[in-house]
Amino acid sequence: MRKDTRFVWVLFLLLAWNVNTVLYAGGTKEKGEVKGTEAKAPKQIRYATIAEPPSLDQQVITSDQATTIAQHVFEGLYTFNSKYDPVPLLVESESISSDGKLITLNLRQGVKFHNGKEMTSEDVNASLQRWGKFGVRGPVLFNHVNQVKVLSKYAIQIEFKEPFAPWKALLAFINGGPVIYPKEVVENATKQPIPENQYIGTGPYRFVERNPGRYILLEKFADYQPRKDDPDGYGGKRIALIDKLYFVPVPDVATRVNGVKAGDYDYGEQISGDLYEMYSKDSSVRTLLNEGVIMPLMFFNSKEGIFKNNYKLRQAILACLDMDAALQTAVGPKNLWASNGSIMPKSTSWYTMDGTDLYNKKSPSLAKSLATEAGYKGEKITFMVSSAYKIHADIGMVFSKTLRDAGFNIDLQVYDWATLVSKRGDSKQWDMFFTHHGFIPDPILFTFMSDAYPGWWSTPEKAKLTEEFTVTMDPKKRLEVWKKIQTLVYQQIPIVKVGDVYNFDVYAPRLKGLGNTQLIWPKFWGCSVD
Amino acid sequence: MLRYVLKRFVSMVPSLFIVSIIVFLFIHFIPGDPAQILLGDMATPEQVQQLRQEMGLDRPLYVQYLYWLRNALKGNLGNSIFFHQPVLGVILSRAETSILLASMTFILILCIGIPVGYLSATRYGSRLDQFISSASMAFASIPTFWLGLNLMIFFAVYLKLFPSSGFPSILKDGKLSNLIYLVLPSITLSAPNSALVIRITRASMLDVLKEDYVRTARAKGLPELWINVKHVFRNSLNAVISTLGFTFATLISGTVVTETVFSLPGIGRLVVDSILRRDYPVIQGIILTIAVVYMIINLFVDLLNAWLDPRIKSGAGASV
Amino acid sequence: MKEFLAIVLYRKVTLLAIAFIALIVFFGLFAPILSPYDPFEMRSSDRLQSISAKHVFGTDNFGRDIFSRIVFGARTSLVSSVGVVLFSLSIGVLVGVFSGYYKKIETFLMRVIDVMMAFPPLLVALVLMSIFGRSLINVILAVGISYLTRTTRIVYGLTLRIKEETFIEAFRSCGVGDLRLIFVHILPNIISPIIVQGTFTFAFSLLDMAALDFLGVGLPPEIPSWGNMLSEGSIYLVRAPWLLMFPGLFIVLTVLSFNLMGDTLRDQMDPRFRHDIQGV
Repeated sequence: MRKDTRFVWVLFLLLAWNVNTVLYAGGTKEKGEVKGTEAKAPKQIRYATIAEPPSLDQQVITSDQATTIAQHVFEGLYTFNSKYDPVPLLVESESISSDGKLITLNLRQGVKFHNGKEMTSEDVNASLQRWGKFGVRGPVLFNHVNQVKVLSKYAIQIEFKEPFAPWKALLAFINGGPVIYPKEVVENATKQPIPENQYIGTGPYRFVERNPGRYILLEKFADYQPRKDDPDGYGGKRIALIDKLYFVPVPDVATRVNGVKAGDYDYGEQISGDLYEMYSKDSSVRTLLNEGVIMPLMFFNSKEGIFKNNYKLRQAILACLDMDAALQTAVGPKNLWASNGSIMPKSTSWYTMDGTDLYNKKSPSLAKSLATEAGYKGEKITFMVSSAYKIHADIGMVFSKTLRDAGFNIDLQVYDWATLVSKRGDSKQWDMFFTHHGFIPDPILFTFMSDAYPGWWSTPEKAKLTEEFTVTMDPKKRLEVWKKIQTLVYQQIPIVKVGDVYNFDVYAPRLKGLGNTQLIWPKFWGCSVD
Repeated sequence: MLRYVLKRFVSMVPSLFIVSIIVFLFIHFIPGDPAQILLGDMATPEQVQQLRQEMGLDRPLYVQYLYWLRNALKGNLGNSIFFHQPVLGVILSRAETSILLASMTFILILCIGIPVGYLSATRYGSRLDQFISSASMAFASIPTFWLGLNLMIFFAVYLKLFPSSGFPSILKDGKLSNLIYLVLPSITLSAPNSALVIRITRASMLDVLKEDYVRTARAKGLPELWINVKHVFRNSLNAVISTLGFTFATLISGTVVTETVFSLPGIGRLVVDSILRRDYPVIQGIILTIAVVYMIINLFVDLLNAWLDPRIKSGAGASV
Repeated sequence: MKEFLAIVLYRKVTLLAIAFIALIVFFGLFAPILSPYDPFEMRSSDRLQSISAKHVFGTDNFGRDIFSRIVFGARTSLVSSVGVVLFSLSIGVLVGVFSGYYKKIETFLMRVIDVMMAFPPLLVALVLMSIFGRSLINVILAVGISYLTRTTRIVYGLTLRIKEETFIEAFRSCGVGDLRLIFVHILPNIISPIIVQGTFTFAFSLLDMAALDFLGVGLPPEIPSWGNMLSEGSIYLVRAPWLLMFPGLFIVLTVLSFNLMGDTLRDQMDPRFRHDIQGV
């Protein structure tokens, strides 16, 4: 009988593969050049998105993937500059009555839709009406609106019931916001997204086609009328230098990076934080920090169960948590996260440390004494986390470990996103759940500020301060009110804010004009390719 | 023979009917709501309810099913909630990738699995056989994403021989050269499946090698190759064909990891994504389609086995 | 039994395989004693540490000791994968052999298998989860069903063939009962492909179940299993390859060991191999 060598062969094969992995990692650095310079062909880029958006209808869809694509096609009345302050886009000028209730908007003249028609106040009126009735964020504004009136071909008036401070930010916020469609498209539209063959906007790119699972193609709109002022963030003049934009769904993060390195994509979004150091040293790709903040949030059930009216117990949980450890574990390198107790991120004018004493306390002993005070006797706490987002699952696991070690009886339930969303709607099924919040221009848009959002935080104190917050028009006074709201959030703890997290993107060196950091939704007017 | 095939096709009708009822019950049983998923985090419960009404999801289950059945019998599988396109179109747009990928992989499996398995069996116990055994066990246990990514890094990023990912439609572009996009994915997929076919071929052939008639043939002094091919290989094909049958079936519908790694628009990802998004009409349509494909493949396997071994007196063999 | 021992002793490599399986079982039984660290202990400062004296297999993205997790993962991995193998083989073989042997139930049973094949494990797992809540059994069943159909198809085809062999005919004409014919004369003759199918089911199902874990319908992800350690480590393929290497190594060696033991078992059960222990 011959000697049996099977084990030896397996070990040999495994070793060989592993050596390969190390080799490729080092080897790619030298072969840095990008293949396939298609100089004569029309200039085009391929953008690798993490997922396919359900629709590009910004009025009813809040997916960030949809916004990244749709903002090239559709425009709103206002947009944001690089400081995320609202600036006019389709509006030329505005005038506000002295009591703050009447707002007159003068539209830019000569703005063309992709079907060749000129945009007038009739189109704006129809778009605002549909958004106010069916749009995701529309009711937030329209609950305060008496009526919208067409004054002339290029002027429109919004009449508020009482002064409403965040109106401009809401009109500028394109994600789930009031983009302007032609009247014919939007007047009969409802809650259902507008169909693809009616994607007609005023943006620098027009929608060409969607090939499900493969790409969404946009093409430069020749008749685009740019503004005259200098570009600043999303504001100012928008000049399209690239002819075609392909948005390709590439769900796997490793494929997005390797695809950019191989020259198949020019831009890959949302790369895992742990790969940042490796790729920032890699000469075949460029890394770019995205300014769009991600705020991981843990919600408490205020309506039912063990946390109902038990603020002490919520404080105990908060006092226990170590945000630094959680964020480092879930995100990685220090420049991609900040353990920041302010509800709004540091870069905004809403940054304040009022009330944040218990944030990042990392004190299991304090937690234990608070829990005893709250009358906690080891009852089961159901904590729901979704596996759809790695950051949710990772932070959820770190938190439940920390809390269990401190004596809380945490029942961690990991679900797919659809299951979690359906279960969290039922107040009987959970005590805490995990989610995240993206950028918002005004704190009023936070999900937890709505009484109807799961968690159902609605106390008289909240109602009073929210009312004061919306009617105050002066920014300085509004900040004072916001400080009071934040303090209240840290007393009643409807949510625990974990911190601020940032993504990074990678792109091919042939892509020019991207700047030092990326706006929340990457935009490609003003960019060029070699 | 023809009668048998007809009978099998007729028996598909009740099977598909049962599949459709089970799928319908399943998808409405699991938690989750397509309206909520579509509208996102910001939507209020009233808005979700509004959309549910527009989509007809608030009607009693049996009414929804009967509506679906009535349309399905007319050939209309409804519209995808997520894509806002007809379900049939969505499935067909993915079918191209899956059929091509499955076929390329299948050819690779045939070219690797059967000859290597044959070699392994005829050189039973040799060092070559030992190497093949270890390699196939190793390939069976390697995760697909691991192999796929390594191939991508080496052949697409480092050598730049193949594109890293994606698959532009051949039907649309008319370029047969797009097949190059499927080379790395089909190698990835063929690794574990070839390993299975190698082992099955080897095991079946070894079984036959021990049969009396093979010994007799050897004793008669017939040439070794003749015995191996004519007697041993042919008679050991039964399990191999069954294996190839369900392997091809899974290649059509169940290659979600490979499709994700190489971002291919295939059926496997559509199945998983639709389930995760609770896109009810697509789930219904696609599982029915898969069921039809599987039934046809299984019929084909049964016919092939009967044809290879005329002694088989199953329904398939009796009337051949 | 004596003969079995003789084969085992003759083939030293089988001993090696048995030793390895014994080691894994030992891991599974005495994990808390054997692991140097708490496998759930997270240290954010110790993340993604390479192989060192302190952490022989390195640490993962939570700063958990990989060796400890492999030791702990042995139990879940073995229980779940062996569970899938036993479930799919036992039912698959029975359904296959009976529908191949009895013409009366053939059509019905095989059409049922056709229907079962079409259901994706994810959907089945979601349904089971909403009925029974989260448990290991759901995943075993969801994944097991898809392998069950494959085993059935193989066994069914082989049974159709073998029942026409002359020796079966001969036994039948001697008045040997159906059940005896099936279990004593048919099954042992088709055991080799079944063993191969079982080995591959073991290997494939580890990864299939990990995929379900990560879609949120399987085990909670903090419970270590070799499969979910691999899936979880996927983004660290280049950045920290040890996250994949060690769970992968243990899976390969386990599969190989089971395969070797399967071969030995086959040679023991199949009368025609018993006198030919030359080969490996």
